[in-house]
Amino acid sequence: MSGYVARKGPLVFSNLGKWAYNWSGFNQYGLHRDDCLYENQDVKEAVRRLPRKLYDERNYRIMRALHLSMTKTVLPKEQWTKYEEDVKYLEPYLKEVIKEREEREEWNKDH
Amino acid sequence: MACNANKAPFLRTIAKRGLASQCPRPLGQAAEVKSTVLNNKLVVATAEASLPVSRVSIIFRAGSRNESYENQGAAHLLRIAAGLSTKNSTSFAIARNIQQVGGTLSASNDRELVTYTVETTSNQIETGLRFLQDLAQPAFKPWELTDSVPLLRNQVAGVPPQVRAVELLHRAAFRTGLGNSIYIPKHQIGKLSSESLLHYAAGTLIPSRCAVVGVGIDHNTLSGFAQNLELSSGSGKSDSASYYGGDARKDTAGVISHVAVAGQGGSLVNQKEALAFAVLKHAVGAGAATKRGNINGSFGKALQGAVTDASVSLTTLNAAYADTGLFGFLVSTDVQHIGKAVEALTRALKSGSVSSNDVNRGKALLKAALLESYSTDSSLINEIGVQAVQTKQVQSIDALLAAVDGVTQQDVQEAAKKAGSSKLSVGAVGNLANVPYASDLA
Repeated sequence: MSGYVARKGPLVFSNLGKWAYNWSGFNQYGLHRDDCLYENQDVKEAVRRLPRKLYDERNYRIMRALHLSMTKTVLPKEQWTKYEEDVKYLEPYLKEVIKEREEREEWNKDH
Repeated sequence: MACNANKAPFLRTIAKRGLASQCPRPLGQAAEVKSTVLNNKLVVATAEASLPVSRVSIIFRAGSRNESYENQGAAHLLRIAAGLSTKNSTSFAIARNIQQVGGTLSASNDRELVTYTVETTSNQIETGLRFLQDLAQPAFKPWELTDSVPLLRNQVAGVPPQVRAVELLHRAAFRTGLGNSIYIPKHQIGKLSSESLLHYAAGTLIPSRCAVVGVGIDHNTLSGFAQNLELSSGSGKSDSASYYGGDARKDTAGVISHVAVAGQGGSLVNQKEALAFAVLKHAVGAGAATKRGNINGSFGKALQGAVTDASVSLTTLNAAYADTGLFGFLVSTDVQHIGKAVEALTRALKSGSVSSNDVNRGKALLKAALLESYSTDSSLINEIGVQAVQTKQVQSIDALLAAVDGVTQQDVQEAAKKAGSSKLSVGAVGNLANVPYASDLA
């Protein structure tokens, strides 16, 4: 859907951000930032709403990462996710889920 | 935006307060109706400015006849989408806000129209209107569509066999367009994508196919609301229906058969013909007037002559659409008697003769039915809504009654001849061992 275009790369580019991104290491498993989010209720709902293709890609990346972790290896360097190319595919969906939850909480406060 | 001032809530309050001193109309007295056509061809009609309960409908010519083969069921989903998120508000917000003011929000669809209606007490109509206008912009979020699949399956499974017979009758009579079922076909459930539905909505939820009608709301207020309604400005296709005739049958288990038989009827555009068919419906016997009573008129008598010792139910069908119609009957009985019943009723349908006594009774019944629909608020809004969106004008009850009086026996006989001499359509559901085919009835 047109309203759910994912942001690519960081919100504000900085060398410090790039260093922190590479230091955190999940990119060496080929993961994106949104693959590593802790799956609370909001994230679970957002993942449920993902279009089929994005959902499958996410699962593939996670399974590959689990496999790499099990064999105690990482991907070859050219396959690491780059700081500039990290796609925040879940963000638009997650934002909407959070907004809906806040709306519900706000309503329950007043009524 | 000439009427933008009406959007300011305090002005509406003033208009309301001024009118509230008027005496509400006595029970059962028909309401007067005002209608205007806005610059963007949207029709606004209102009746009775001051009532304790305000009702407002937005009606679109977006019914199932506008579906193509690929997006069959889109009109049904438009109706379902009334409970889902829209572009401006979530389903949670719509439901809770309407509930909080004690209102109801409902949606209905038929072959021609999709209608969204809100009912609230008249001091809370502000809230009602705010969420009603959102319904005209459904968002069709893919996950909500997936979530509504069980609801759709439930609704489709709950369609009574009599209704299925009438759906099949339309399929046989018109094949495409008007032949599309009101209900989503089973094979389409879960298949219609968000994009194809948005495309359907963009072509049908447009001002030139829309009417906004209200009962218990000030005309200027509603015009201002209609003026500011955000609708897409596309142009949807509307093709005229052609009548074919033939058979559409569905065999199911059991000993009961439900058979709908009809010939070509009158269209809504030709009011004289439409009224003649409406009189004819009551003249041949629209249904029993008393519980377990006999049905008068030629259809009722034909059925009583043919089936004497079995329980049987008969309804006369008169469906008038924008450019064509269907006239016939729907009969249900057990498999031993259905053949005789259908043949006798078909003979009555094809005979095309209506006595002056029958015509007079038909007129009286039709006038009573019209008066009844004009004198309760909930049926009045349906009545003026259909008129506003289909003919772009709303007639007062006096004009309608005068028009019914103007129908002659000649007109009714011509209507009966038209239906009787056209090729017949047969829609049948149930045990069809003894149900004749359309070609046998000719």
